[in-house]
Amino acid sequence: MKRTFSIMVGGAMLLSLLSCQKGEPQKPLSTLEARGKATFMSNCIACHNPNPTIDGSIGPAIAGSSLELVTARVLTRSYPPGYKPKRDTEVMPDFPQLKDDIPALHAYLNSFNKP
Amino acid sequence: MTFSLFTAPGAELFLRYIHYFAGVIWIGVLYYFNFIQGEWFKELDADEKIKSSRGVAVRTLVPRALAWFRYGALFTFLSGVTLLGLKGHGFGSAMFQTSWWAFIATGALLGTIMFLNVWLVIWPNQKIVIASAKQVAAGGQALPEAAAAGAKAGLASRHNTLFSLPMLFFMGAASHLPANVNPDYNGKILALVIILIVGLLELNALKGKTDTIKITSIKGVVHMGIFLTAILYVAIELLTK
Repeated sequence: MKRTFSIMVGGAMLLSLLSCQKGEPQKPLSTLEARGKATFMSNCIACHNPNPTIDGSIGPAIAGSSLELVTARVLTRSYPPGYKPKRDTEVMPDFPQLKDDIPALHAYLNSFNKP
Repeated sequence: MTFSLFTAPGAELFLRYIHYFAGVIWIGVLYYFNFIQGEWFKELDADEKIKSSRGVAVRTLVPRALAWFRYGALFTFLSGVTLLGLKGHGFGSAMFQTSWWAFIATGALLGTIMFLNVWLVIWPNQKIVIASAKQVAAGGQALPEAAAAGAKAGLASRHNTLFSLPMLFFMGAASHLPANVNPDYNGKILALVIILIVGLLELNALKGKTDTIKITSIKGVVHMGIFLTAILYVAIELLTK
């Protein structure tokens, strides 16, 4: 059993090491983008992918989202007029506490090369 | 000043907190039965001098452990069903296009079968075992059906230990392993494959033997649990593309 657990823990550690090398945006982040990344990592990745250019477990890819879209989704659980949702659901809650973080979040989501 | 706990996500977190707490109680006692108590009972049985301790344990310790076990299972199940309902409400059909659904549905299927095993197989049979030990302690004869009842409960309990490994993996994977899912994948085929694999194992839990699928030893059940997790995971990855 000790061997089984050692293999599992060792394997997991190795995988985490290997995965550290990719998935970052190519250019260094500005102060605003870095703040947006912190907001994204602490509030969004339970549903969206930690890499916002690809789909997450519940939420779709959101890199490149407009300021209107980010504002509508985060604050009012709505979509901007005329916007066609990637996944039409009401599962995303509102995040009123992130009101002041919207510009940073928008900046981070637009720091990626277009998918 | 607002407390985020008193919002809809806060309520969901509180429910999840109950789900974890009850789940740890349930699975903790399951592992106690399978990894600790079972081995100890074997030691007692092998030694004439301490053999009678088993009866004492079955009368006094086991009922206590079983109470935490089955009510842990009940509250885990109820909080889980409510959580799923909350999440599913408002999700609409897009739910079936997410990796979250593929994983959580598999975990929930395993958890539900385990819960039913607890209340419909393990507990009723353990009641017979306990009643028999009480009768012996009072100077009477052991109940003739007690040995078979103990074996049935043990078989289901060992299968629950087997199921617990993929169950935990998929519960965690749902929110923490975003997998690439084709929105047009055939959910019916995936469901059929998963239900077939788990259903055959459950059939073995009710009518079979632990030897058949190599889960008699602790090492065996852990290894087969990891193997079952891998099979189900690969099936989900392949069939959601």
